[in-house]
Amino acid sequence: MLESSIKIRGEDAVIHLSGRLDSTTARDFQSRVDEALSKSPKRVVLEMGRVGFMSSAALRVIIMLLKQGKAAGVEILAAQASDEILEIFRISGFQKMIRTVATVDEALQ
Amino acid sequence: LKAAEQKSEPEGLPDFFLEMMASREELSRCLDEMERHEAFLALPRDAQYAVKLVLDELTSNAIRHAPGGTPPGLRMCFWVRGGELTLRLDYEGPSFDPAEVPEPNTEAPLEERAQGGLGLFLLRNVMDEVRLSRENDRNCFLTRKSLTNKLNIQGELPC
Repeated sequence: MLESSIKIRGEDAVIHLSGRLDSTTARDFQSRVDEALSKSPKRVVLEMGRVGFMSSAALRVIIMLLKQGKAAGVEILAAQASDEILEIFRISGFQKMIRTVATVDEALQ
Repeated sequence: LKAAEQKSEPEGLPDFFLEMMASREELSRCLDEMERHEAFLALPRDAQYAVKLVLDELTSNAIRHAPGGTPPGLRMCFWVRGGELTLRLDYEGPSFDPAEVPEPNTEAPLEERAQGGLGLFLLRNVMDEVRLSRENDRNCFLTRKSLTNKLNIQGELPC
């Protein structure tokens, strides 16, 4: 189960995520990412405070987001990720590719 | 996958058992049900995460490699005995050799990172032992994890 929404804050897009980012929800996650990028933001922030689980299916979406963001000059950040999510980022080497911050406000500073 | 002492499954009935025809819809339903099961809720948070990861990654593999796209039968169960989690998951499908699955280069720059290949890698990292055997046309994974909360996180996961 995944609930998601997008809020535009200035020139930035914040994707609010709640639930599981897994193989059953990766398509919905991908749709939100596509929708956010279609708004040509300066930054995309993944708000992950209510994400309790993330598997490799979500990492596939994030790696595509990072590549598309880099090509278009869009910075990608992850905010409020739990210790488990940060551990998955660390194990998979993503902590070197995506900037993680404590809050959405910090991401948008 | 890892050379380890060849332990067998624990004695007695498992603390948790599920059986399904592997599909995304069934996986979603099983994850929802498992998250409410008392045996699952009794696990430390890092072990809860590991169990969900094993179920999600291996069910995805089963679906991806299903002959003719027919949802294969899949079973998962786990025991908690003597401070150790033992999880068995098996499914119908063609045999494969995990040794042939290349390890992702997690040090590579973004441009060189492949999209896939992280599933088994994550599994090997969150579990202490992962073994695969072939039994009656089924791929059978036997995995173990010591129940020490390495992250020392208390409380409930958001979901």
